Formats: sequence, structure tokens, C-alpha cells
Amino acid sequence: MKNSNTDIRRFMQSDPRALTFLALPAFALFIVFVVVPIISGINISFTNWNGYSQEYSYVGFDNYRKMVSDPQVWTAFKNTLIYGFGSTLVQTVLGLAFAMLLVNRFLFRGFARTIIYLPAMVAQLIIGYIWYFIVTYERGALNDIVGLFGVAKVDWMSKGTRAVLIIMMINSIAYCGKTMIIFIAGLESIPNMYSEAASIDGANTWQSFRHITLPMLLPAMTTSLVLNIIGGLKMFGLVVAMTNGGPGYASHSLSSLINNLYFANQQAGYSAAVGMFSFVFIVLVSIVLRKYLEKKEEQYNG
Amino acid sequence: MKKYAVVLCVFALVAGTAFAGGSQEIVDDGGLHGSLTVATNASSPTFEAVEHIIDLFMEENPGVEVEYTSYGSDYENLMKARMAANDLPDVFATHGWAVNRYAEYLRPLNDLSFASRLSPSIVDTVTTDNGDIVAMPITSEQSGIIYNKTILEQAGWDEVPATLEEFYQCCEDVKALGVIPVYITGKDTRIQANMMDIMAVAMLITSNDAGDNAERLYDGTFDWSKWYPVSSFITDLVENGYTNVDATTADPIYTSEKLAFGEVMFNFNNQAMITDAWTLNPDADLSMMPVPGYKEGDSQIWIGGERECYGIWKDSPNMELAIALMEFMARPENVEYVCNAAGMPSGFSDVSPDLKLAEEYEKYSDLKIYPYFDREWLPSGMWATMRTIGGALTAGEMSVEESCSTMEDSYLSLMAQQ
Repeated sequence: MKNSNTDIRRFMQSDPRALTFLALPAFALFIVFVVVPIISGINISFTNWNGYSQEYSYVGFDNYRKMVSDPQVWTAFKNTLIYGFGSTLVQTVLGLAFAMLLVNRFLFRGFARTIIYLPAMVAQLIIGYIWYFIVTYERGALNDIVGLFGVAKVDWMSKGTRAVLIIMMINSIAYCGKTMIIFIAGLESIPNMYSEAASIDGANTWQSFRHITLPMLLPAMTTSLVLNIIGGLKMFGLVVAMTNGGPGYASHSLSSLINNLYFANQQAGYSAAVGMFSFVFIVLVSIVLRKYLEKKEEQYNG
Repeated sequence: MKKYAVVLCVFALVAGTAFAGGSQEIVDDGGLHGSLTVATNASSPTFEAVEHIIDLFMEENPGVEVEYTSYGSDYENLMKARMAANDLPDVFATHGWAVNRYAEYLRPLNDLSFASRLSPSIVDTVTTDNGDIVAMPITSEQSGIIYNKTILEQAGWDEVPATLEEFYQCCEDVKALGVIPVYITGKDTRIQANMMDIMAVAMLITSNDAGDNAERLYDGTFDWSKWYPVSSFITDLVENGYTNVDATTADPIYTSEKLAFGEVMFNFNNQAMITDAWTLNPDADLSMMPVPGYKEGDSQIWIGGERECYGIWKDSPNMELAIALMEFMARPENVEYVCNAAGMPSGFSDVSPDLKLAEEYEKYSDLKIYPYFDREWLPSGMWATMRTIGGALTAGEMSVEESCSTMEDSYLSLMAQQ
């Protein structure tokens, strides 16, 4: 036994490339859970499979052609953009504000940070159900509150655009804690000497925020923007819990539409095609975004 | 050595997991032994009733362990995934789709002793084109529209509305009383899909001017502009103020309460909802009326079919146990127990449960029972489209014309899969 262990050790040390073997388990998992599903997804997207039968036939590019003129897909795409970019904007503003507020030492700072971060640890679906009971028409907390001011009850989620905006806001509020944590880390890594030098030169708070804090925060900004946008573009749980894509299909994100087409509508082939579109789109957005932000970082930090 | 011990342990664990469950053997005592999985989408009170019968089965066969689970609203998705993997529960509920969706995976039951006892009015709905009975309906359904008898009288009506025009007039009269005429719970759009599913039969199939709609729906040549009145049914109700204000978002969990305490007049649900409401208020004056005729001279109809209905997976490794369980469930006293608990008619000709609504059914016993529209005249998968357009029509997010073309698109692509 001892000999074989020494052999392995010797083999590993003999050539640094041998260490690549250590990546094998991760590589195997990646193949099984990412590469194979993507390839099988591409395959399904060229079929008319209903999602459960053992038989199906190939239909060429029919599913992709159908997608171009399908109002459901375009509505879901538009909503996905709102969920992705809208949430990111609100989340960044809120997250940055909280981070600026909570970076300085004061009593209960840890407690305040925890409270703001807490919702980020709860599953999207659960957040969705909790908020559903707040915005629901009958016995909803929000309507009770507006009722105090003598305003008539509103059926908040009954109109598509309003439902989309409400879901976007809820997503932003629920997950701004994550952004806050990233920004706090960023803020704490900025050396004090810059702002001290600036204040000696007579810079006011806004000027020092605009020309020192913000540029120095760019690396944190890159991380948080990429994470938030991808998170928003993949929005699923909140939509399912709050509207299930309704009214009609007005609040579907691409993810929830894919789920609905695949399972409920039994158009697995078509759903896979929409899935491919969503996949390519998210990949493109993250590549472009990363490139842009890296360039910005270089500009500022030389 | 340690290494080998670990490998052995892992092997034992994997093998243990792989062979655990589902094993069946007949031992010397002559009784059945093994385990069985049974899945359903049933909710209370049907679920508890079937669970009770399964407990009795386990008492009679102490060597058998039956795992009975309800997946609730996730049931259909889960079953689709399991069908795709060709790995199904030994016995499972077919919720109205025994023939059009599950038949490929079901064992024909013609050779079992209960097959000849199935009610003639229901057996066709679980029989494939080549004569295979693929599922066993314990309860059956005879549905129309749930209504409140007291409110009907207060609104000045002696009889339930017999045509669509009368139905709208009745809604108007009920509205004048300050009661919500039709309660729609759009948080779960199944309610709107159900409304269209029922009305479509009256409008497109049984109406005197239905023409050859049925054949054209079967062969894929249906003119979808004819769907217009079905979608309009939803928009007319909403636009005339015959529904609750929050029709788009109301949660179905409140339906039984609203019915139980007379806050609403009509609701499109099956008998189980009335049974549920009676648990909250046993005095609720609720009943079931047949679906009104579309136009003057059209007959009223009932909508029905199988309800709590089970089939056996054709590749089940526990076939003998599955058959024994089905035969046990089919015993008249067990069928009657489930029917009484659920308040539903039975799917067997020799079992007539003691139903509170028996009088109503007797009164309209000459009316014909038709299947749900999507189960008979649409390809599997259209239910989701009906849910989508139902929700959009209620919210005013879609015009009636758009809903017709959405139905057409979905119909054509699903027909192409067949």
C-alpha cells in the first residue's frame, strides 16, 4: 500500500501537467451537467418533441422560424431585458447607497447590514410568495396601507406592464443586499489617503465621490453588474410565484416562458429553440459587458 | 486494505440503493410481498379517501408496502418528465388523459375482473381506439356550473338559466342584489380555461348550428374564427361587471369560502368544490346546474368524464402487486367510500353512492353528458394555451381575435406532433 501511494506522489511531482488530473472530477461534472444538456438541447430544438413521448421527428429550422414571429417570445424577451437591466440599475443604486451608509462604523452597523442582506439568502420563489400576499387585491397588505389614505383598492398585478415593473422592483429590493456587500468590500479597499488628499485640495463630498470613490469602485462594479444582469436575465422564481407569466403571457421572462412551453404547452422542441436563443443572448451580453467594463477599468486605473 | 474496505462500502451502498424498493417476491405464506408506488394529483378530500383504501389494502396484505403520494399541481409536469425517462410509478392517476396522453405507457385492463363493471357512460373515455381499457375510473364527474339556490330565488328565478342569454340576464339580476355573479380566480388560470372548456362544447359541438365542427377539429381543418364566441364569453362577463374586480389575480384558495357564505352566485368547478364549501358551512345552499344551451332551442348539457382514475404502468416491475391493488380498490364498498367522501358519482355501474346532489342529477337525468372540450376535440397540450388566453382575456391584455389566432397557431403545431 505504502509503495503505491509513493508512486502516485512521485508521478504527480514528476510533471506539473500531471496535476491536470486533479481537475478531472470537476471536468466530468461539467461535461455531464452542462455540455451534454446543451448538446441535447440543441438536438431537441430541431424536433417537434412533445416532451414525454418516446417518438418525435425532426423539423429542421421550423422552431427557430416560428420564434421570429411569435409575440409570446418577443414579449418575454422585452420583459427579460427589463428584469435584467432594470433590476441591475435599481439594485446598483440601492446597493451603493446602502454600502456608503453602512461602510462607516456605528452602533448596530452589523445588524443593519444583516437585515439588508437577509432577503438575498431566501429563495426567489419564497420571496415571490411573500410579496404576493403583500400586493394581492383582497387582504393584501399594500391595499390595506393605501386604504388608510382613503385610496380605492388596486388590483396591482392585473396589468402586464405594471406587473413587470413590480416584479423588477421586488427583485431589486430583495437582492440589493448582495450588491451592497460587494460594494462594501470595494469601498473598504480604497485607501484613505486619496480622499484626504482631495479634501486638502478643497474637493467637496460629491467631487470626491465622483472622481475618487466611483472610479476606484469599478472592479466591484464589474463584478456586481455582471452578476446582477445575468441574475435578472435568468429571472424565473419570482415570475412563477407572483404571476405565473400572467396576465396571459404579459409578464413572462424567457426562462418562465421556456418552462411553460416545455411542460404545460408540450412543445419541448420549440421550447428548446427558445432556450438556445436565451442561452446565446445571455452569453453575448456577458461577453460584451465584461469587455466594456474591463476597458473602463483600464482607462481609469491605467 | 483500507482502500479496499472503502471500495467495498461504496459498492454496498450503491447496490443497496439500486436494489432497494420495488422488489417483489412471493414467499411460502402465499401472501403478496414487496412495495409499490402510487401517484396522484388528487387533493383533499379525495386524497384522504383513497389513502384510507390503500391503508386497508396494506392491512389485508401485511407484506406489502404502498407509497401513496400526491404531487398536487406539479403532477402533470412531473409525469411528463417521468414519461420521457420511461420511468413511471407502478400505479398512477390519469386525470382525464388516460387515452390521449398516457395510453402509450398503460397496461390494458380488459382482462381484470372489474373491467366489465365499469359504467357504460364512462368506459369509452378510458378506452383506446383498439378497444383497450387503459384506466379504472373510481369517481366520475357530472359537472356544469355551481350556483347558489337561495340567491337564484332572491334574484327572482324559479329555474336555472337554460340558455346563454338567460344566463347573462340572471347575472344582471344577481349583480343588482349586490352579489358577485361569477367568481373567477385568475391567479390560477385553470378556472378560465375550464370555463372555455365547458362553454366550447355547448357553443361548438352541441349547438344546433354547430355543423361539422367536431369532424373538422378531429381532422385539423377547423376554422378558428369560430372560437370567437368562446373567448367572448370571458370578455363579456368581465366587461359587463359580472365578475369579481380581482378576476385576474384572485387566489382559488378563497373559492370555497366565497361559495360557502353566499358571497358569489356562479363558479365553474366540479362537485368537489361544493363538498369543500360544505365543510366550511354545511348549510350553504349550493347546487350544480347543467351548462346552458348556446342559443334558443339548444339543449342544456352536462360535462363529465372520469375523475379519480388509475392506470398501471405497462412496464411496472411489480405488476402482480399493482393488479392486486387495483382489484382491491375496485371492490364496491371501496369505490363507494371514495365517491361518498369526494361527493362524486362513481365510475362503476354497480355502485351508486349517497350523493347530496342526487336530486339535481335526477331532475336533469335526461340531459346528455359530454366530455370536456380539450380532452376530446383538441390535441394534448392545448390546455396551456387556453390558460394563457383565458388570463389575457380577463385582464384585457389580448383581443378576442388575437385569442382565436393564438389558439389556431398552438392547435396546428400540436396537431403536427401527432
